[in-house]
Amino acid sequence: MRNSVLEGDDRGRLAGGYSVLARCWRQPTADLLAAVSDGTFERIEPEVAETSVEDLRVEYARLFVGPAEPVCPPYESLYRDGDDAVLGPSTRAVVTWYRSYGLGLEPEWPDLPDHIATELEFAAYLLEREDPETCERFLDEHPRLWIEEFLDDVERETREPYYRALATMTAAAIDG
Amino acid sequence: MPMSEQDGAGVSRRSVLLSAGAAAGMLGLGGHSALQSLTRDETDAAVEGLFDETQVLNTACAPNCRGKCPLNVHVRDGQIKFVEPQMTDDERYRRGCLLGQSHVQRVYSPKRLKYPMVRADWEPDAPNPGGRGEDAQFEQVSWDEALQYVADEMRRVRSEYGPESVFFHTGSGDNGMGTTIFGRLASMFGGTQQSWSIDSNVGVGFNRITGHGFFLPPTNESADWVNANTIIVWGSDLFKSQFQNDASKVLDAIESGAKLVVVDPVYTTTASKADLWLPIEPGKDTHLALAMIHDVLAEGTYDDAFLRERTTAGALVRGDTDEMLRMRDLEGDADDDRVVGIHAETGEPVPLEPDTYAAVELFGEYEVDGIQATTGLSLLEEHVADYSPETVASVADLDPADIKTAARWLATRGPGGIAPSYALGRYKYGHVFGQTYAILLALTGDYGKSGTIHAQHPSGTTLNSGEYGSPDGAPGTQSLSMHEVPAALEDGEPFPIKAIYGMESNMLANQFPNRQRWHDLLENVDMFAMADFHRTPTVQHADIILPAAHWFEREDITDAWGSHPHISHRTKAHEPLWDARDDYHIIAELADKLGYDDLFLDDKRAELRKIASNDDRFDFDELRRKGNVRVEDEAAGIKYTDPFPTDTGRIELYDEDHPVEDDGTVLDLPRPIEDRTAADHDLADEYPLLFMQKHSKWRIHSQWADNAMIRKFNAEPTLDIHPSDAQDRGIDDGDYVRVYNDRGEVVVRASYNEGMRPGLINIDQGWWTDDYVHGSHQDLTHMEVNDLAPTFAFYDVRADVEPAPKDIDTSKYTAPESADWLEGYPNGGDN
Repeated sequence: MRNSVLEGDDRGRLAGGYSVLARCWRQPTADLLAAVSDGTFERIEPEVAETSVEDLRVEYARLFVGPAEPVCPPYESLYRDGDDAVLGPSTRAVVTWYRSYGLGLEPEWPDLPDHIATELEFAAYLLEREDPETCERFLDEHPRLWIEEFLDDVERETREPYYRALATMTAAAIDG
Repeated sequence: MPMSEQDGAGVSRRSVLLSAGAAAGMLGLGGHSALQSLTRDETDAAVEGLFDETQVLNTACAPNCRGKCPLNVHVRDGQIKFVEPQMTDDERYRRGCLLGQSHVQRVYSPKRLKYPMVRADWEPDAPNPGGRGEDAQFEQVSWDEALQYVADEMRRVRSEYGPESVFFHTGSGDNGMGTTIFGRLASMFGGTQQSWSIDSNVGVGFNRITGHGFFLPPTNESADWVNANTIIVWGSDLFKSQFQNDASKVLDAIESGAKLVVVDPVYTTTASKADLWLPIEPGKDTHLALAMIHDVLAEGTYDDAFLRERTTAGALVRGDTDEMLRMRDLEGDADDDRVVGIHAETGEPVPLEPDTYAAVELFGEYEVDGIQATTGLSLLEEHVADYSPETVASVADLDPADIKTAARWLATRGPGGIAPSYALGRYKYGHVFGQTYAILLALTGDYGKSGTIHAQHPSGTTLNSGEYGSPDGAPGTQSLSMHEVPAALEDGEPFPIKAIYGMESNMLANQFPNRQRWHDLLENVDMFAMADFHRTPTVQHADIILPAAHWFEREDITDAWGSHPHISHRTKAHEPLWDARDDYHIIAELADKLGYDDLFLDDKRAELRKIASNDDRFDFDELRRKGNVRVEDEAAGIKYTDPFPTDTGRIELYDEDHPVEDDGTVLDLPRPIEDRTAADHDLADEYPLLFMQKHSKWRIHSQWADNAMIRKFNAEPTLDIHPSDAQDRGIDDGDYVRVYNDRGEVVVRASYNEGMRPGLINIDQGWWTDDYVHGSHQDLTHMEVNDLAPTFAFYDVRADVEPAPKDIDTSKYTAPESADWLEGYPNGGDN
């Protein structure tokens, strides 16, 4: 067993950290913005919440959704598989991970399995339900192989300090 | 990965997670509920199916190249991996092309539309139409929200302006049942649909003579083309743009010994395969057809038996009224409106019946019951005296011997014909060419036989949907031709258009001529919704964006406008990616929200079965099983075997209706009329070059414009220009140039092309606005249409070219960091 920073009595809360980050990479909502401006996130300056949900959603769409080709597509396959196509071999590999732990895609979630939010959510699950070692192994095999490049793109491209802060925070959270 | 327990990063990592984790309770993310996109339950999530199934499914491609090629889709582990032509019911028609193969890249493109979106500065009460366009920004919304906006706006507009003020807009981008299904909703709502002002020029002229044609006229099904002995491909590069059956069947004919003549100002791929190429001056097509008529008459190579049996060549035209002499004009039944010829042996007037040989004089002037009259053929002969091959050769910059050779081959080598393209109708008065070649083919007897050809594509097979489009209680739709839509948008004439729902089309902001004007016109609309599967410039211009499924992600029936007489089935290969939906389900939910709960069934297959039940020529379950079925209908087999649907039942060489064009030209006989191609046109000095936009092999209209694989080979729009025209203007191969005229400008890279006729320049059609470094080719085009067959004249355009201004930003193609997707593919002068 390797020694992980994820060891300890507060594993549940660490896992919660991944869950919250996962939520942050989905479409912004009012309660999320409220949590940021309340100073709930110690690592995010509340000032980055001095924006509106509408502005944040417009930025979210521009960076990650469209209608134009997203500036920072949040999918592992686009960073690792090199075909300018989604659902590549790395997507398949990540689904295999999910299945190995009895998880499938939520029918109400129409996005792709290698979306950054789903990978972080899975990391939370592994940390809480399995063990830090397994979580680290997943982080090694997937998020750490692409998310850094993705986050660099976000930091460079975004017009909202919120996403810059989120990128910094996420980079730290998967830092191995 | 190094251990990180003791280092700073580890501390940082823990603290980030702990800080974020502190928010978990507040966001409701404790324990089990931490799972958001994953679930421990048994799941039937659509996206998961992508990783399981392995099978071969039938579907069909249908982007309006008219191929409608049935395809097999190989699905391995749930994903589409490979596409190949499907065996057709009639095995002579199995085809496919590389665009069809590249659907795999389209389905899995990260550029697809993923979620319903609403323009950020659009609201029902404050539509802010000025916010539309390239800089518009969007927010992701739920389907329910998006469609509620659309439904509410449709209702509001209906109550404020009337139902016809809602425009149910479609193009030719998806030949499944989408238009049929959409038409049912439009009919129920009472909205407006459009009829065509594109490609409806040549066929309308042909129709004046034969009673057939609106788009290009009927032609024998293409498996018969092998029996043609002469094929004159007129203004079509079908070896590039119609790789489906049309091209292959022309090649079959060549292999069987047919002579291929190509009439084209450009040395195209098709021209390079020709026995004879006529590099005609643009706009002189009617002149050339008249010269061929002249030659056939002068050489006596016309088919006199055919002329006597199936045309009005021998029918007398009165000198006093310029109308055909009728039996009622002579002593006899006042209701007898049969036309009259002079019997060659008795010299007596005799009636001409449809499709009945009459031994009448073909030439001459006669006096009948005191009425001076001349045969139609003599009037034609007299008329074409001004169009000898020698005269026309000097007008059209051709060799008179080539004109005579083409006419001789057509007239003397047995069955054959002329395969014109829609390009001829992209000159303003293209219908006169339709009139002329209909007459030419009558002279050579090329109708109603194996081996005769009248168009560059056959009609395909249309599913008979019966009354499906007009459900009980439906008020029905209003119709506006495309060229009439601007007045409705701008002046409210004949009624205003205030809301638009568009699908399967990229016309409104990209493909229609005079693009900027459409952008201005659309500012009069309060709500503009577009359904599509990728972000065309028209989608970008919309207020509400509805992501549609790719063809391979929907079950459907494909028919119409095909290059072969089959109806095809589409099997759904997998669920639509992201939150995209089959247009059917989008329309059905919109119908629900409009209060038409029972208009569509929940189960699309059941709805398709219902539509198909109106057509007793095939069985839906057999179609699903086989993938495609050959259907016998009027589109199949040999055409023009029945009496012509004209007043006389014959081809009417002389048009006694005397149609008059906007410049006053009377078209009782074909008279060339030119707009901007005329050398003495007002704009000729200032804009000496003629501008066209040919179809390339890289896209079908504007489809495939964003296909990653295609773009590796066809990276950016270019201007085809003859080196002599370029050098006169100080332009090197590969330079960026400004193409401009009195309406607008576009900046593209110049590509030296010795195949271009000097004086003629080209940018391939279909490029999206975004792909230009500045402007669009549709900023050069105009919306002036003729009176008799109003059709947008995309090629009747003048322009000039100069080196691009130095401050134009070309970095999207030239800067290494932004053009990295080119991966070093040679561009500009090297491509």
